[in-house]
Amino acid sequence: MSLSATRFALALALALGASSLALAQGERPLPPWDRPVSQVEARRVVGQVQQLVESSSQRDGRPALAALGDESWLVRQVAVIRLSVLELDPATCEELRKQSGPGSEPLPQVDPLRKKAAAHVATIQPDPQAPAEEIDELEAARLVCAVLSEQLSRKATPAAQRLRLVQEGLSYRHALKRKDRPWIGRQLLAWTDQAQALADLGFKTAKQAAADGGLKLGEWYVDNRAYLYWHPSERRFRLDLAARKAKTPSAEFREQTPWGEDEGPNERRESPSR
Amino acid sequence: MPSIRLAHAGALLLALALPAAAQSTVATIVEEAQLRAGPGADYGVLTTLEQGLRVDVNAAQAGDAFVRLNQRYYVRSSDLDQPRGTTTVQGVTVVYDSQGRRVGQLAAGDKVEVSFRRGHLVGLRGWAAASAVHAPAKRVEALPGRWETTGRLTPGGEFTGTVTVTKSGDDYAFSAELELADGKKVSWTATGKEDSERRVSLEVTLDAPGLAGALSGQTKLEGSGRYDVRRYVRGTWRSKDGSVQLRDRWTRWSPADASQPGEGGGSSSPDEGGATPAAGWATQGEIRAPARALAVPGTPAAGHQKVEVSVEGGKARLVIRGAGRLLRGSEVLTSPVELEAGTHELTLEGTADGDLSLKLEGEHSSLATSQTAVAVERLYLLLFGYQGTEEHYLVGDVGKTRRNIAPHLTGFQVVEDGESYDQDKIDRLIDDPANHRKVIVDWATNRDDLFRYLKRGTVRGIVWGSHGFMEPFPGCPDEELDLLESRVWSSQGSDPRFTGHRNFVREWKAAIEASIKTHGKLDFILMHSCCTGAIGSYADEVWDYTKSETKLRAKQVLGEPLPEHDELRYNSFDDLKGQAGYLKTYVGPSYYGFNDVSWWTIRRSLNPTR
Repeated sequence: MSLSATRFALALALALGASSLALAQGERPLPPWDRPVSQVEARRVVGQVQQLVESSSQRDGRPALAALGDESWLVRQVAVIRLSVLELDPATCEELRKQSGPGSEPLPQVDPLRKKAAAHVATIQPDPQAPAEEIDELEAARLVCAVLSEQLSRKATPAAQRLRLVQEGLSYRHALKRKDRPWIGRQLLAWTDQAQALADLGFKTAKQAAADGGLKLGEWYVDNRAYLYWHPSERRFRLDLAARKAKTPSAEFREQTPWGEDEGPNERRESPSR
Repeated sequence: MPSIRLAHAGALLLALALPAAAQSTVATIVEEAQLRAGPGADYGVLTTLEQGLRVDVNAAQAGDAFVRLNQRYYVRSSDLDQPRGTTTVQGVTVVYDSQGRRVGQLAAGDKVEVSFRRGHLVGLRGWAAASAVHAPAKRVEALPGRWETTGRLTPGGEFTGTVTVTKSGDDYAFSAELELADGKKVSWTATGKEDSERRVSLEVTLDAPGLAGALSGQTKLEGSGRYDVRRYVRGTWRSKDGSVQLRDRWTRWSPADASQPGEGGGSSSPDEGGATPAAGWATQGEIRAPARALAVPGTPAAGHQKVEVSVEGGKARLVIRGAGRLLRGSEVLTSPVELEAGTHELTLEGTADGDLSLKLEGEHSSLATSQTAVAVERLYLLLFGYQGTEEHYLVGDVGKTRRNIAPHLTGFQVVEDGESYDQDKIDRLIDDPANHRKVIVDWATNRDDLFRYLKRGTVRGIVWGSHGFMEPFPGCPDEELDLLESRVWSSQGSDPRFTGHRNFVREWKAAIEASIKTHGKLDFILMHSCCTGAIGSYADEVWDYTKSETKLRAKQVLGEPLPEHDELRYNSFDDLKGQAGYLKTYVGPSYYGFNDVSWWTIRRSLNPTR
């Protein structure tokens, strides 16, 4: 059994145990991103990312190449990013990115794209004298969340997958030091309806809202995720107030009460954030 | 301003205009004139310099040469150490002899004459200080229009008049009407062709019936010559028998100029007198100049610094040498500058790497000196524009960028607005001459800031980070609506959460040219925004972020549905390739907290000592 598989099994056991304990005590069950298995995986991914950035900053592409076979699609995406930094050609990088999207399988060593990347890495002379970019957990989490943001904002990404991506991102709170955890709260606001969340929680600024490490924002998300809809022009989720008022999930509510021509996701803005 | 030259009773009369602000130690020749009393009688050469004039007397000629100042002061060549040498008049204020000794002084507008005497008067030059020139045209192309002319004819006396200039194709036509003080009329016409941006060659026909008696019965003169529009007409218009020649110049006609006195051109004899005596010389003075100054070639005013010069007890001369210049208001001063007693607030403008020295001189001694170290600015720009909801990435993005560049730029000062986004923090320090090498870190760059930095013409490297995409250039011709150009968002005001302006490839490219003129290619350009290199994986949303008016036009011109991504043309920031040693752009997405940047390559591109 590999090290990552062992960790996974351990995390799963912990998760099952924690969930059972919560239910037995009559508490609210932990959301998926707070479960131990997610916590463990988030820490593993962050560690992998730190290593990838550090090694490739010294022109060593071998860890990035190996990471194309990682179980986490996020690690694979980061590996492609770092291979692009090592001047792997854009077309190959683009194909590798496509192959390493959410839900994809690790690339086997025999994969032609991976072979192409290996050939390129073999041409690179590592530079151990170069200053290593040692990134902390926050920096690694920023990179992971940037990958999530990029996937989230793509036009072709299915709505259900978008919510899974947000939830996956929330687990990275557990990979951060306590002082850095507010950053994940800010990220959640960026992915969702910042103005509405601040109004609901009675905060004036995003910084204030995230100050507790994103706990309140996480609860707000749990309470409101069913009422969120994707706003393509703004490239983030917004809250469907009418659906929330009707206490009906937005998707269901809008089957009965469709959006108007210039309402909700149909609203076009002159200043799209792209 | 006309003057007249006559072969008359053995005397040669000739008038010249001294050019505006004619002072410097560099001898740039404007024109040369032979000093002749008649055929074969060659007494030497009078050279008009941009900075003054020089009299070279042939050693073979016997007799004295006179430099006459203000119609009162004479220097005889026999009074000089080398009576047959060179006498140089520098500027409108000071006259030097060939040994560099000051032999007299002038006030602006005073007359200067040089004469040669060998038992009797054999030659004469007269001219007026050009500081009295009202507002000469700067370029030939500015000539068409109506000009006022005043001056003095010899014979004939003072006149006023107008010159009308028209242009047809490449030809200029001049028509002048002059009226003498006694009411007599002189007119002339000329055709001209442009020799350069400031010179016209002229063919002149002159009609002077009122001067028939004075011109020995001649009334018609003609000839060819040149007109330096910033100075004077130089030419010789002769009567058919060659006995009469004319020179002329004119001043701009304008209400402001009309209030000024006419120029004292024209010729005069050495016996005329009555001008004001020269003022006394200063005995003390002080220069308060900065120790360091910035040269900012693209926006020189950014490097301006105050210089205060105090002069006591009379006039003084300020000599400017080296890597800069002085201005009085917007007027550029040419060295040496005469300063009256009092305190003078001037502006120092650096122009190159090096020292700028100022020396304040009295009659015989140096009163004060100063030295300013001038350095041409070198900037590395780390700029961040619109971030939108990703504002919380800024701390990390800026930190990573700064950490990977600034420490590798030894001697560079980091100037940064920080999380306050307070532009004043940058504006207060960017012009500080204490260090000409700076790294500007602007966390919220709006369009004005961006192009203000680039316009300075001193940029050595650029990082740009913001959202970006591709779309047709707003307002482009219809035939370019299928050409999508990369553009990046600047922030709105000093708030990176909101979009300010789209900034397109062509605008960047043009603005960066100013820096290339100063320092050559930039070390690197990092355009860290989506689609700065190509549309990439955003091909399926290629029209989604186009400005609404442009998109409407595109639909009208290209039809609906709009063309697919592979039917379009593109212009990316790769177009800047020739402007930097290393250029990095992005195909499709550019997120990832600047972890998609090869800092290793950027660091290797740095050449901070250049």
